[in-house]
Amino acid sequence: MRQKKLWITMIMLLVLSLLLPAGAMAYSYGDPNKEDVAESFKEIVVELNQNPVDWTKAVAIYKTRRAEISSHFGEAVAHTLDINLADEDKEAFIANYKAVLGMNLERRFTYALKSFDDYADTKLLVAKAKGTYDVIKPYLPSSQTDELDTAFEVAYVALGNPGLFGVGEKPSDEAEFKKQTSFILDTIIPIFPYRGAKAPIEEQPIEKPIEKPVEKPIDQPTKSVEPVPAPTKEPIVEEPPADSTESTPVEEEPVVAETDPVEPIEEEVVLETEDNASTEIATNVDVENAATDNIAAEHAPMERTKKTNPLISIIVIAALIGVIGTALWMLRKRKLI
Amino acid sequence: MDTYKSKMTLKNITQLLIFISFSVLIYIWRWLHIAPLPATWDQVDFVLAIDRYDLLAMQPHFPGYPYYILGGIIAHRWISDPGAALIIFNLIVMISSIVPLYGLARRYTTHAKGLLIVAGVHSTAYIWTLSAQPMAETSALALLIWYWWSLARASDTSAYHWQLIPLFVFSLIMGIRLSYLVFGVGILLLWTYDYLRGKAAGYSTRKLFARLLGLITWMLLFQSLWIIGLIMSAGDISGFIKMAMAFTGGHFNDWGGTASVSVIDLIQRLYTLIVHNLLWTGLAVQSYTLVLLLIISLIFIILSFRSVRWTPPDLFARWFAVMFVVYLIFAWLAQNIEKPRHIAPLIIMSIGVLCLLLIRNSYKQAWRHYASIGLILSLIGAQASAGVLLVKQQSDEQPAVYQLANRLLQLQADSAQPIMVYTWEETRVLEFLEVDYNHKRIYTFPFFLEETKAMGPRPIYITGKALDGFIQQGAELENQTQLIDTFHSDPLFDPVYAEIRLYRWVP
Repeated sequence: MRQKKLWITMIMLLVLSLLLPAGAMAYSYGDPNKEDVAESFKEIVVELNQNPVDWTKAVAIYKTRRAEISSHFGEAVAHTLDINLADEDKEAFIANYKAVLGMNLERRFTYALKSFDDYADTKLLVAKAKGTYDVIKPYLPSSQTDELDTAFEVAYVALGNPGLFGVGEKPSDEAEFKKQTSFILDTIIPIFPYRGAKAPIEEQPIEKPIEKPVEKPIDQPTKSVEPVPAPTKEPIVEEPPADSTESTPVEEEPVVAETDPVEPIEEEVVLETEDNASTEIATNVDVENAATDNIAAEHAPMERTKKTNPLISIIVIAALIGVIGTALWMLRKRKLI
Repeated sequence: MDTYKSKMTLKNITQLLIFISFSVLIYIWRWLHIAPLPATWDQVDFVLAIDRYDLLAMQPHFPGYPYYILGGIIAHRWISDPGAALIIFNLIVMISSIVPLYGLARRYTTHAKGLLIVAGVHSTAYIWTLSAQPMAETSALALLIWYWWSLARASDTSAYHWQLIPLFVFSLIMGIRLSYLVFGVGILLLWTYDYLRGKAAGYSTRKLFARLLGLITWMLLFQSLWIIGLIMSAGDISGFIKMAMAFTGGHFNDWGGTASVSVIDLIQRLYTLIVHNLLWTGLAVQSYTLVLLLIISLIFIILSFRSVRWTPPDLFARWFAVMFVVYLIFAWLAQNIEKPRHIAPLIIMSIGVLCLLLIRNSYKQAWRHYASIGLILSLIGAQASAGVLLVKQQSDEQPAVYQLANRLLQLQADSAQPIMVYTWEETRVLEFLEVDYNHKRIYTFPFFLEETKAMGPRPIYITGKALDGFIQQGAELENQTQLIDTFHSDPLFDPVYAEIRLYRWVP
């Protein structure tokens, strides 16, 4: 009787354990060292280099990334890419998308520096930056790639390492990380200049916008280590051009802002200046409200979701162990174990 | 067990001494012929982890193998080469498993025959080659033996501390090789039995459930040890979870979707698994002598079936059978069939059972008894000599990937421009060797075309695996490639990259 029961249970357990592998064990070794925006670039370029060019496919792939590009680098940048595609201007589109990848590098490094004490996050951000770099590497002069490879390696090591069970712990080096990442940005970004397109009718002079974006992003990562002051400061600078939208000579100013990948808040202002009537701009001067309403929601994942305090994690684990321990002790005391 | 009690007689001690000297000899030989240079992607992952443990950089790859790397790091304090440190750790854990294996064998047979079974298992040639590589398998195998022994002990007694030992050993196994998770079915069987045993002894259901709850808690506690270690190595929980999600998310995107599974595929897989991986590679190390000996042994066992005083298998033997089947099915459905090392546990389980069936102590006729001893001795001899040769060959032979790396170095030296090499997994070994030419992994043909165009004119090389991938994607490569060289090493050590072809790309 007992034997029979045991066998039935065994068979049931067997069946159960067979169900287990299918679901829980279907793990695979993926690669988080890849950046979606950059991976899509590879796919788009393939479509653009078809003969004849497959615009519909290219646009379709681009559309999957448009929201991301718009929220991270500003609607103006996405708008420019839209126009490049609409014009079927392959060269301009590819050039601008490469510039976007440059901006993406900068964005990843900037946030890595902001959360530098948070090892887990910083490391993921740098891995994403490396994923971006791997995609644009073939377009870089081969004389520079070795140096850049080394810079990435050194920057990565500069993040430190908590070791395994505390064995092999290595300290982090923020100054070194800053040094290497700004070297990477200084090298890569000038190679891929961004050319902002205005509203479809207006043909912009090409030279001027090229140089400005080149310079501006470079000092950005070192400057904006602290997230708070930046948004409040920048709108004030941006105010004059906002007022003088009608006068053409100053129009270059917003272009500079467009290329700024770090602060989406500004882009919102620029966007309004371009697309809407100037009366609306006046109301949008208190940028912070507008920004929190529109963009911050989409942009939040980058900046805000990450703050899990390691101390809290440890306390939670300790508490859990405490509860389990107490439960065990209670059971013991009641002679149940 | 009481039936097989033995005294410290001169004969017994002599047998023990013979066994010890045999073990010492084979382990010294294995110690001298390790292959510390990592030759595959996975091995590079492990070796790099000794210097910097970093899951995100795939050193080692997910899910982390924390105890194995920790063992390697500790051994690394004395052994300067990180690969050698991991291998020495393998060997030490493997040697330790002699004790529980003898314990298990003694449940079913006498002292001398127990020693013979241990020698039979420890002379398995495939396990020799595996333990001489910087891979986690053999350490996990050795702990599996400890785990089986502790399960058997826990089934013998209801003492509480004996119920905890399997849980602890199992957590060690999980911290070394997570894919042995299905062996956890043994613990479920033990718990079920423990409950029935308690019921039979007249304990109340409430009390028995409380006992079970306590055991589950202990299980979670033991498992959380290595999980917490992993989480701390990633920085914090949220970082670890993000990383885990990223790693488990679509790895096969590059390949254009996972392979479809049909019934024919499954049957084909089962055939490969059992005939090619388990029998031909795992048990016989692709040697006809061993195939012959194994077949003779099997026939002998079958023919002697009627002349044996049959004792029904005990509880643990049945659990052992369940674990064998469960792992077989797991390997069949969920493991990479290309790599025979995934069925390593089945190899030692099969050889152990084969040895036991061969020399169980109750043959009715004396000649069968002597024949069985003769058979097992020749099996041990054949396995050990195959192992001796293979381990030496493995440490002397230059893996195909290394030959490739050297040839490319030469090609780079002859070329005025920097060369570019496209590969599959070979790139990881090239990375480890820090070669001074560019190389990268590529799967998608259009990306490859685009990159080669973007880089301008420079010599471009491509390995056979990458090229085969392109052809599968429908690329037409007539007159576009030119075979430069082919490199070979023994497929027993690395079945996937034992033959590497190198092509030059002619755009």
